Amino acid sequence: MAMTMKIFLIIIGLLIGVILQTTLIPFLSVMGASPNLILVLILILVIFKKFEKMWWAIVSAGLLLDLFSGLPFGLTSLSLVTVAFLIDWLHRNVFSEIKLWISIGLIGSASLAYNILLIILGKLLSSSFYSGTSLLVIVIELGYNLILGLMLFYGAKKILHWK
Amino acid sequence: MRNFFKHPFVWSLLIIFVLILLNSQGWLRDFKDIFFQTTGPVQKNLYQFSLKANSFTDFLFSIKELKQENTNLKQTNQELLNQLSQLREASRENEFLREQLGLFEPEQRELILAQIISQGSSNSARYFLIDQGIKHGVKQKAIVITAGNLLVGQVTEISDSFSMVQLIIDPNSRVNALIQETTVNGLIKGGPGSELIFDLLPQDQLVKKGETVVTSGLAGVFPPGLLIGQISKIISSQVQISQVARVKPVVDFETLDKVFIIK
Repeated sequence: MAMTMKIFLIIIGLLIGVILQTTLIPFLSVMGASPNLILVLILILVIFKKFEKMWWAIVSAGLLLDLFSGLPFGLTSLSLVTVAFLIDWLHRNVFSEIKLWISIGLIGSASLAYNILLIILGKLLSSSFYSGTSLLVIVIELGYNLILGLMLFYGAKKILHWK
Repeated sequence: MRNFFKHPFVWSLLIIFVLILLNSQGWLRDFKDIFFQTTGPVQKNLYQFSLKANSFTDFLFSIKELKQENTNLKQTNQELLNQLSQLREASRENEFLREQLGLFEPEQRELILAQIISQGSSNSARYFLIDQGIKHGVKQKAIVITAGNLLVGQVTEISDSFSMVQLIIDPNSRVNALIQETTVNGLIKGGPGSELIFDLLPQDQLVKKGETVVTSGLAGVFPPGLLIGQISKIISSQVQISQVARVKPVVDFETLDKVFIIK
């Protein structure tokens, strides 16, 4: 029962996240860069739970984002899944503990990797695709994501880190 | 090999590729429509709330500049009134000449009013989701404007009740445009932030700051005469084949909540 409830909460949380990402968050934009709430939520999930357990939530969140992104369909989900998998691998093999500074470092690396993947995969999926993301936008988004990561870390620790 | 296919990462990729394939065949259209219809009302209300909150905070931050802005607006108003009276005179003259020459009146545009529900979810693209779709008469690649014939963008994805609009500030947007004062042609592209890049301007033409940029109607995608913006900076180099300028769009995409689709 508790497990079903947690799955339900994760689905609802991601859905609310996608809605916030497309309605409220664009208004926080600075120089065309706004925080990526879904990426941070997914990374927090991957850090606290394994990719193996959370892959369905990551694919679902990516596909929901794809519906709203305007980018070639599948690009966001492919980037999100790849980044989540890489971060999970890095977390399990290099850092074994869940600590704030490790999580923040992983969120920072993932934000950079996500934007690079969007550019590379975008070109592979559509030859005419041009990503207008400048270095400045990537840096501002990184800063935003780190702040979001800090805010969500402790909340997630209470909700997700059950034994 | 068997373990490789059991890995959730491989499963995830397989599912995404299958969905990409289904989407390319248009088989996800109904699913998208159902999803947008379910979440649409919440998104619409949240988007409206965000717009109001944003304009309220903007107002709070700009209280000090209001007096100066008011003076500037009064001055602009006087200039516009003067231009309006001249244009009325020209319009009357135009009408008279049309009658004399037996020319037809230009066709009136049929418009569909749409409300913006949400914005794109990525920093790499600039899109709006609007609450009008195929059943309301919206067509693929339809042009989207706002009050005063200001160009907003183009419909790129469509479902029964909703459409995705690619904004002119999107990095992948391309609009054939010209400078109204000199009729110099070029290509408008999405630039960094909310700015536009006016590319392919001939090197031998004089381009000035403050000149008005409108759609040229070349290629037949965008109708001619839709207002795009004003030139804010000229980035010209003798080494390049063409001149490049920065254009400030007349549409404030941050405060937009309703648009018109040209039928």
